Amino acid sequence: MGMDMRLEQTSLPDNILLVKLIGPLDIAGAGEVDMPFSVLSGKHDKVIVDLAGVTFLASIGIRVLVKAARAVNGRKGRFVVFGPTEDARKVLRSTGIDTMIPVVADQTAAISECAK
Amino acid sequence: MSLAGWIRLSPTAAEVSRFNDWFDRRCAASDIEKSLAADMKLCINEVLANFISYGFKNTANPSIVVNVWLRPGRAVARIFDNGTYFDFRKWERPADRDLPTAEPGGYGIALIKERASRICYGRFCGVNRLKIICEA
Repeated sequence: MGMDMRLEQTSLPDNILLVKLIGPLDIAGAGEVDMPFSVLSGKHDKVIVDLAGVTFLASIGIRVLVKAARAVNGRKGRFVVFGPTEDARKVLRSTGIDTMIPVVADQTAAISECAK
Repeated sequence: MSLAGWIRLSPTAAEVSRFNDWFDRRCAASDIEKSLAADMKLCINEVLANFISYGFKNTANPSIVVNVWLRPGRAVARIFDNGTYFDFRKWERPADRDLPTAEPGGYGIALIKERASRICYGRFCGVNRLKIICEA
């Protein structure tokens, strides 16, 4: 079977939470990270999400990101994603998510975006 | 090199993972372009996710069969299922949305319509037949 989806979290300076998603964000992967991601996005006001390890992104994965972003932004927080593969970036663009959620190239840019 | 194959699935998330593993291996064994393989994989994933969410609520023995044909420049999938009637062609692409008001759904149909070059659908004797063609 393929690789399972994993979520890793790291606290960064300035109260920024780094969430690293690793694996396929298909319906199975989204099911694995949906709950922990919701909990994290309910508790942190600055969240940056590393998508570099996301090997496949389907609309169900988009749904997970949108839910989390809405929770953070609803508290006037900042939610930024960074480092998507070319395929994942294409999905973000096709669905218009990149107009709702800031998508930047790397962690440094994501931290800068959080400071705005 | 052209390559064909088929797989029978149940409507569960674990089965979608099994399909993805199978499809990745089929693509690796063919000469199909990676971008085209990614387009078809995404389309089929969206269809399967839709089946799991909505397709089999009233079906006693759900069954899905996916046939694929892969060759450089062209990928074709024929998907047979005994779930409810659902014509993907008739679903409109969601309107542009903003984050505060967006319902986090409806993206799958938009992705299928964007990535597929052609979609055919018919229902005969209680079986849905969906054909998806992705071309370079």
